[in-house]
Amino acid sequence: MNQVTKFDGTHEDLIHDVAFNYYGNRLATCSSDQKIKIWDYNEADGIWESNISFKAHSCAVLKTSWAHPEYGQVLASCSFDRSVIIWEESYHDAVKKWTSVATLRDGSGTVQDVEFAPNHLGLRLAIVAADGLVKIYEAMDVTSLAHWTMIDSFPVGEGPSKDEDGNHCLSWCTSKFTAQMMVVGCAKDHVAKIFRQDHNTKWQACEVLGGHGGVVHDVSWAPNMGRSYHLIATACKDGHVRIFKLTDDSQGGALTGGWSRKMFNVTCIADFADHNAEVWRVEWNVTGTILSSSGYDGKVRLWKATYTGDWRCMSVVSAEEGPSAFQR
Amino acid sequence: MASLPLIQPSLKAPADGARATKRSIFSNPTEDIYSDMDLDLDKDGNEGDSVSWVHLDPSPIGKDTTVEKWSQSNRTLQSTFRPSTNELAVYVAGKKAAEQFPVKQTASSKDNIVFLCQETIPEFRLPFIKRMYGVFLDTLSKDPYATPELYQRSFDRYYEGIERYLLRLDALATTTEDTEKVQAITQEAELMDKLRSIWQLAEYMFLTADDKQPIAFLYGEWLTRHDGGMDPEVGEKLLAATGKLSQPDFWPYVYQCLLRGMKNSVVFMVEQALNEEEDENTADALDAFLGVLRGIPSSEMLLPDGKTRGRHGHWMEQCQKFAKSPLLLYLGSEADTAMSILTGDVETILESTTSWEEAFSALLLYTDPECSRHDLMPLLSSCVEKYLKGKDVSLLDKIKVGILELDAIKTIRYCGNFHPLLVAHLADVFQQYGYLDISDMQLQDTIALGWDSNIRDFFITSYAHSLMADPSLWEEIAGYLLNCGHTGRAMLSEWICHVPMESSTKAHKVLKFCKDNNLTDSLRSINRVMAVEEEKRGQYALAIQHFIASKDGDRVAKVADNMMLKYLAGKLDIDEALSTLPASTSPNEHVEFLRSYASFQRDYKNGKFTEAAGTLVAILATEKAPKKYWAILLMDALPLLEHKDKVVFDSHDTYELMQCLEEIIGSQFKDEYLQLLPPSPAASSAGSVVDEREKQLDVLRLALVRNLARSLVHPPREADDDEEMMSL
Repeated sequence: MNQVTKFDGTHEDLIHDVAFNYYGNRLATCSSDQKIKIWDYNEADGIWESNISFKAHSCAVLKTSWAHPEYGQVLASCSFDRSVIIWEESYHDAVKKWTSVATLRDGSGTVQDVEFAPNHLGLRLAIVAADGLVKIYEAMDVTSLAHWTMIDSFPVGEGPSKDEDGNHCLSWCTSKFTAQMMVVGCAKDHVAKIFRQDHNTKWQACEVLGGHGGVVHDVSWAPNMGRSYHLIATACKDGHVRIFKLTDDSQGGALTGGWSRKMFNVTCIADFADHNAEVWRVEWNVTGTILSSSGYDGKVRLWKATYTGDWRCMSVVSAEEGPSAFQR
Repeated sequence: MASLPLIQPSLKAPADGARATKRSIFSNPTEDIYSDMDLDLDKDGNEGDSVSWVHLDPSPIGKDTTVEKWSQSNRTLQSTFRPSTNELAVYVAGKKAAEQFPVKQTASSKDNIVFLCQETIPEFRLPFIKRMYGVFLDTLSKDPYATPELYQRSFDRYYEGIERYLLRLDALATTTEDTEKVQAITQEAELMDKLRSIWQLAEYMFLTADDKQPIAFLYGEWLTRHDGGMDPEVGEKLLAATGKLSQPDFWPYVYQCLLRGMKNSVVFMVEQALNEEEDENTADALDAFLGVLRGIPSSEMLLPDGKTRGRHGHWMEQCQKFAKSPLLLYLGSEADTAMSILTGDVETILESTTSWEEAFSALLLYTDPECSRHDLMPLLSSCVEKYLKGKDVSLLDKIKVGILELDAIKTIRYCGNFHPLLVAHLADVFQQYGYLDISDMQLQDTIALGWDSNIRDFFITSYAHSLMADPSLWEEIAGYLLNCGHTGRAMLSEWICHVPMESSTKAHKVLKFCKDNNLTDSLRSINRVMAVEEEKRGQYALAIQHFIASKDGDRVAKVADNMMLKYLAGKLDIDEALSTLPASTSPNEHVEFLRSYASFQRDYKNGKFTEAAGTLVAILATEKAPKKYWAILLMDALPLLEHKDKVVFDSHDTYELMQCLEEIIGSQFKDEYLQLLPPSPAASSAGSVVDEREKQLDVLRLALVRNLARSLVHPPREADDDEEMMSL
């Protein structure tokens, strides 16, 4: 692992999130300066350039999520100002411009996480706010994104939370062959829960990922890649990165999405305390083979399974001073 | 190697006592042959020593503060993966929003840097990667057991490829001036040199079927080629010197030649010493010594039908006899050591050698030159115990020992830590030869662990992942994943959708790849994205083509709608827009409607009223046209209905048009169906707009009735010529 390049984010305050688009040739950065910046990769020169910066919200912009490119260049942002805004890139006199096409503002707390649903579910967006409600919106017409309808809403725990209780966070299951599911980090409850749409299209909690010794700061559902099981990673305040394995509890294995079966066998297959500090973020790569975790120790760790199914740390990126060259 | 492997552990090896197949691939660490020793080659773990560290430059934390303080100031490190390349964007992130602090927090420029980190692939390695991929595909298409010679020819290209790459690196290093690049090339050459040595040792141990060629000689050949322990200058100096026997380097040189089985070199040196020897007794002793040396076992001396063993026994007797001969005294005490080596004295050999590889070579050659590959353990144990016990064993040594143990699983496991390219191709070859077959017991392990792919697929997909760092290798990555069973295919199906389409050439290549390999979902997804892009660029025909390919009828309808609206607004020529739509595009009702409507307009403009009328009626009667366009189409019929000189629509057509009119007027969706008619400026509310639009149709109604009457009285003649009418 090498540091191959860097660029100045040029925000006037701390960055909260950086999100690659579907192809990885665009980046969106958002910050407490209330702005979003869009960066394009200049392949010829190998550099990241930003020509677009816009004030997105009236408070800190906490997260951004790109929609699948078949809906165009569409970005959703959530903010401390309790709103979610859908942005679309358009051309005005051959000049690219990002326009706010819809604002979703019906919550009673900071919107803490936003994520577009996997493409096979259509243009849908899940958000979770400090009030402990997950809401799912859908664009009525994918060629005109002005109208979004809230198609579902469900609480993640018992009673509302406060911002101080920590983050709510969510991650969709991207498998095409199961019922709609997502994992949600439930702030004060110190657990993550699997929510699944039942046969009445109601979202129900069907599993609890327990064993956390603090607030679950982040969750990430691994792309399935034809495996007969699911992997979910959690980042916890107790300093642990955990990987949970979900297998169908019926004999025979495959998750075929049958409505009659709803429970999984959940096992924690990896539990790492290497960060030795609160773990803030976890994320899988696009094929669900590498997990990244980052924490208050100023380090990003990359985890990969060996062929024996053991998860091992393969790389560490440190924010501390040290030899910049590659070490092995 | 001329012929094929005879060793197929899954079938033969258990009978031969090979251990690899008797253990599960999931036993971790793999059972060690040295378990009764203190030596544990697996200590420090398997991957523990291969964690790579990167310190961001410039450090976001800096020298003046601690991580704890930095973290307490609302900062943490965060990262996100770049989808197509697995690159990692690392940045300092604010944990809480600025609004959550009563006093504004300050952020410095070092808090705002986004770092991109990745395993990089040197550019000069790319041709080698592509060549190896070619060999991989070539070997895949052949069966080592059905067509052994063909397979062997393909397989040999692996080693040739490594050799050729090393030559290229050598040439590159001499022509490159940039010192940093030279350093990178040198490092690469060192890595490839090790890789070549591992590859050939594995080939000799696992994959050669040349049973007549004992491993002792192949191993000796390997050692000479890959371990440069001998300094050629020493030999040259000795040859130039007079009184060779008294030179301090003479006997050490002889020992080294003996230990490495370099029979010709040692014979030549002793011959030179004999030629210049003036003392008769010493000359006799050297002559006798030469006689012994000429009998050192070598591959050229192999005899058929087990006669080699007999000859070796005879030679050993000759050695022992000479070792006790008084003649030996004339050569000095050092000659005793040489004779001890030749007579296979384990202690002397172990003390005289400088590495375990050299010791192993000498022990094999002088104690049991015909030793089978399956019986190497005792000799190997002696060498490993002497040289590696209690030491920090290098990964390279672990691999080599694993290979000599004939432990395919251990070899693959350690190679997995060495380099993804090596382990992927070695695992593939091992799999083809049956070394990685999973026995029933192991299969149970795999089920228990929920493991979906085999060990070979695991390492090939890992290699493919390592190549993702370079987007120019997308075809190779896709090819490797495609050949990795269900899991590899699923990964490919997802990953290929994320490959950026920088040019239409690349886009078409990717599409063709998906089509050729039945990646239906990916094909659909890529086509859909391309369609959206083309639509945005105003390339409607291409957009339609891609939407049709993605089987997205709704989106085709939307593009067709968009085109129709643009046409009605006078902003688009449908004929021109659709001209680029290939004839091979699958038929689509929306496209057919657009084409028919364009044809109607064309005929009308050219005065071909009968054809135009026929097309219009056909569009309506067959319901090709969506109903929201019916009002417009009916209004388009007005000039034809009102034609003064000719009855264009016959009574049947007129009835058809009347029926269409009534269908939209009488429909509950009338509002929608009349929406495209131009609104009257007088209309003020939604209700009155519809009424006003409906009123516009009164003219049409009247024209229809009039035309019906005319058509009944003067039915249109077939011979009527539109152009003639026009001229009137």
